[in-house]
Amino acid sequence: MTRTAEAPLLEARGIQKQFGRVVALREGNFSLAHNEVHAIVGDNGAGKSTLIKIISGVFHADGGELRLEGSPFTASNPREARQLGIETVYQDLALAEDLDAAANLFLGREEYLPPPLSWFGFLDRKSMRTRAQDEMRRLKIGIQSVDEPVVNLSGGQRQAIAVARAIAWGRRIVIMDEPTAALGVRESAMVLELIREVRNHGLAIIMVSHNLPEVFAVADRITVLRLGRTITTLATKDTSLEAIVGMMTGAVVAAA
Amino acid sequence: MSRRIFAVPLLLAIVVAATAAGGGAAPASKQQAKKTYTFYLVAGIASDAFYLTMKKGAEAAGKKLGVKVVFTGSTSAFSPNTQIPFLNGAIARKPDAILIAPTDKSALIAPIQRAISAGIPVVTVDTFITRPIAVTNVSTDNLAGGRAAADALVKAIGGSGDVAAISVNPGISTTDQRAQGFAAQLKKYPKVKYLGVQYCNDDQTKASNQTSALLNGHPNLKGIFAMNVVSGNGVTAAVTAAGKAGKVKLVEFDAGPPQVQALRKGTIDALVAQYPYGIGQLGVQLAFKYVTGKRAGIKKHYGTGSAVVTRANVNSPAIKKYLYTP
Amino acid sequence: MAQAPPGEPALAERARLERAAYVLSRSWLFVFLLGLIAFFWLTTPSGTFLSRPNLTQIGLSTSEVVLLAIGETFVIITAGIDLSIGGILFFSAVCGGKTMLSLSGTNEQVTNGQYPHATEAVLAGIVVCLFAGAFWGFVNGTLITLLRLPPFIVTLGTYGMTFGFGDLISGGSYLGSPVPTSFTANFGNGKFLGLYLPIWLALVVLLAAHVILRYTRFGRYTAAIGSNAEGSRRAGIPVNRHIVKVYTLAGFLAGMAAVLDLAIYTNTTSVSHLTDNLNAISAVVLGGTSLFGGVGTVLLSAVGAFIPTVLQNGLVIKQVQPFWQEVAVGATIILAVYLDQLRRRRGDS
Repeated sequence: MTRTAEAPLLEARGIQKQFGRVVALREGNFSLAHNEVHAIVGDNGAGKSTLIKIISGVFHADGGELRLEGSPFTASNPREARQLGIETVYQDLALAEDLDAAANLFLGREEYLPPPLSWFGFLDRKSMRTRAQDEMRRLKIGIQSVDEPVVNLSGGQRQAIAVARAIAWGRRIVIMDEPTAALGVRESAMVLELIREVRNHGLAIIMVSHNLPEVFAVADRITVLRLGRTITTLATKDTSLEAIVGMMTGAVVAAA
Repeated sequence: MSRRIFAVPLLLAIVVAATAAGGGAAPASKQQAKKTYTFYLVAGIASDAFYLTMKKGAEAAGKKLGVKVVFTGSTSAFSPNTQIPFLNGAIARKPDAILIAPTDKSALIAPIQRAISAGIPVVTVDTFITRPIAVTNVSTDNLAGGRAAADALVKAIGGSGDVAAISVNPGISTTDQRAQGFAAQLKKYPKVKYLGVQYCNDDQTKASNQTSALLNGHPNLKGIFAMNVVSGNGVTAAVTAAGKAGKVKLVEFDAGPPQVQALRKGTIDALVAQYPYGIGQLGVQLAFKYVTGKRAGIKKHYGTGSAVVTRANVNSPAIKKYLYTP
Repeated sequence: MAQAPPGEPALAERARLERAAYVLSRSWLFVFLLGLIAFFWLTTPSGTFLSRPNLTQIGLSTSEVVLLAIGETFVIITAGIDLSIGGILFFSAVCGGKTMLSLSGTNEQVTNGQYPHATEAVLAGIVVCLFAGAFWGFVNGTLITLLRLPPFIVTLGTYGMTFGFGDLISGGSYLGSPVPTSFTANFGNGKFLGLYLPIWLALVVLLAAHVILRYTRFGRYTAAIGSNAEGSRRAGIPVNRHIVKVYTLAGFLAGMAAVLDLAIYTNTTSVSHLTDNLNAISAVVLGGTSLFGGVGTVLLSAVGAFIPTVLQNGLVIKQVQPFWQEVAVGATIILAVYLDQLRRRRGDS
C-alpha cells in the first residue's frame, strides 16, 4: 500500500493565508497521493479549513505553491476547481433542502430535453431521476425515493447525497469537510463505508475531521496541522491515536 | 391539542355570525299581500359619514314605501377597482333597483349598463357617469355649492387676499363642479387672487403637504377651500402645524361630526353642507316611482340643496338637518 | 451500511403515491374554495350567486390580482418579497395610458371622446406598460443583488418611488380622459367562448408560469436559490443574475396587469393599487408558498387570489353589512390557513 514512490496527485508547499490581522496559515504543506484517503487533522484554529478552501478555490493563497499532477495550478473560484476535477462536500452540505435527491445531484448541471425544448430550458426530469437512482445504487446508498424533498431525509442520507454528488462529478479529488460532524453513530458508519466505496472507484479523498477514531478507521495517511503549520504527515498504520493527539496539542514534538 | 380544537369551531362561529349578523335575507323572499321591494345602495366608500347619512335618508324613505334598502360598498377606498365588485354582487342579487354613487364617470359606464341590461333600473346619486343611461341622477347642485363656498371664504378673509383650493381627483364629477363654481364666483371679487386648484387624490397626507407648500410659497395666502372631508383634514393639519390656525381661513365641503366639531372650535370657518340625507331619500323615492310604473315625468337630474354652516348658525334647527349623522 | 432496499420497485411506487397524497393535501385550499362556493350557492336565492354572469364577473375582477400573484410567487419562492408591485402596476398604467391618449388623437379629439388612431395608440401603450413594468422589476432585482439589501427594504423603497413617479407623470391622479373605447370595449369587456378576454389572458399566463416553474431550469433555479442560495452559488448557478430575472418577471407581469387595469377600468388611480401588494402576497401565502422560500405553486396562488373575491361577492349577495364583511374576510383567511396547517400536521405524523 505504499504510494509514496509515485508522484503526488496534489501538492501544496508553503501555503500562507491571512485574514486581516489573523494569520490562518503560516506554512501549509500537504501532499496527496493517487487513490488514497488522506485525513487532515488539527485543533481549532490550526488552519485545516483554510487549507482545503484554498485547494477548492474558495480562497486565494497569499503565498506558496500548489501543484496538480505536477503542474502548478490556481483555482480562482469553486467552478474552476470543479473543472480541474476537484469536488467538495461542504460542512453545511450545500444541498437545496426543498428539492429532491435527483434535483440536488444535478444541481447546476441539469440535463435537458432534446431541442427545441432545450432552448427553453425544459429539464429531462425522467432521465435525471433514473440516473440518480443508478448513482445511489452504485454507491449502495439506501433511499426510498429520489423524489422526496431532501429535508425529509435523515442527516446521514443527506450527507450521502452530498457525497454522491461530489463522486458523480468528481474526476480526481473529493474534499470532505467534517463529513460525520452532525451524524449519529449508525449514520457515521454509513458515511465511512461510502468513503471506502469512493476510493474503490478510483478517486482520491481529502478528509478534514475532528473525529480521530474515524480517521483511524478509514484514512491511509494523516497530516497534522497546528497553529497554521504542517507538523507532519504519517501513514496511519505507522502511528497511534495518542501520538496524533499529542502532535495536535503540541505535547509531542514530531520528527521533521 | 385539546385547546386548539376549540379554535376551529370558534373561527367558524365568527364567520357564521358575521354573515348572519350582517342581515342575510331569507333565501326565498315570499312576501304576503303587499310586495316588498329591495333596493341596493352602493356607496362610493362605505366608511364615509356622507354616505352613511345618505343611507339613513334612503332607509327612512324605504320604510315609508315598503322598500328594503341594502347598503353596501367598499370600506377601504373610493375607486372603481374597489367599488365594481360590490356593484357586481348587487347585480347578481337581482334587486328591484340599484342606487349607486359612481366612483369614476367613465369606468362605471359598462358595469351600470350591465345592470340595466339585466333589467335592473339604476339611479345615480351624488356623482354621475357621462352616459345618460341611468334613470335619473340625484346630487347636490355642486356648482351652487362651489359658489356658496366662494362667497363664504371671501367673507371670512375680509374681502381681499390670496385663496387656493384643494380638490380630490380631476375625474370626479362632484368635486370638479365645486371647483368650477368656486372659480367662477371668485371672478366677482377683484381684490381676491385665486391661486388655482390642486389635487390630493383623496389622500390626507398629500393634502397636508400641498397646503404646507402653498403656505410657504405664498405669504399672502388668506384662505383655502377644501372640497371634501379628506382634503379638509389635511389642510387643517398643515395650517395648524404652520401655526397659522385662525390666520388662514378655511372653508370645507361636507359637515360630518368631526368637521362640525372643528367648526365650533374655530379651526374651520365655514362648512358647505350637502344634504346627503335628502339625496338618499329622494333617490329611493324616484326609484320607487320608476319600479311601480310611474315613469312619466321623472327628470334626468334632481339637484338637492346645500347650506353654508357657520359658528353663528350651526345650532339653528334649519341648519341642523343638513349635518351628517352616521 | 445500507444495502439495496428490498423490493425496490414496490417501495418506489408507494413513495410516488405518498407524494401525490402530499400534493393533494396541499390543495386543501382548493377544496376550501369549493366549499366556500357551495356555501354561498346554498345560502343565497337560486340563480344569484351561482350564475354565469356573476361568476364571470368574479373572474374578471380577480384577473389582475392573479397576474400579480403569479409574479409574487416566483419572488417569494426565492425567499424574497416584492412590496412594490402595486406601484409598478400604477406607474406602468400611467405611462401606458398616457401613451394611448397622446397617440390616439389631438387633445381636443380625445377630450371629446374621439380616438382616430386608437389601434396604433393602444398597441404602443401596451408595449409601454410591459416595458415600464419590466424596467422597475429590473431595478428591484439589481438593487437587491448589487446593494445586497433585504428585498423587503428595497421594494418598500421602490413602492414609494413608483407611486411617486406615477403621480408626478399623471399630474395628481386620474388620466385626463379615459383610454380609447375600442380598447376597453373589445378587450376589457370582450368575450371569447363566454369568458372575458382578460380572464383568458390570466389563464394562459397561469398555465405558462406553472409549466416554467415545474419543468424548466428557470423554475428549478428559482426553487434552488430560495432553498439554499449559497449552496446554489457553489453549485455554479448564477444566483444574482437569476434573482434579477425573477424580479424583472414580476415587474413584467405587473405591467401586464396594468394593461388589464386600463382595459377594464378605462382609467387608473393610485388609490386603487395601494394595497395590491398585500392582496398578491396574501394570495401567495394562502396558496401554501412558504415565505422562507424553496416551495410554491402558482396554481394554488391563483386559488388564494379567488378566496377573498368570492367571499366578498357572496357576502354582498347575502346582504351582509360592509363592516361585518371585513370581519368575515379576515376570519375566513385565518380559518383557511389553519385548516391547511391541520392537514399538513396530520399528514406529517
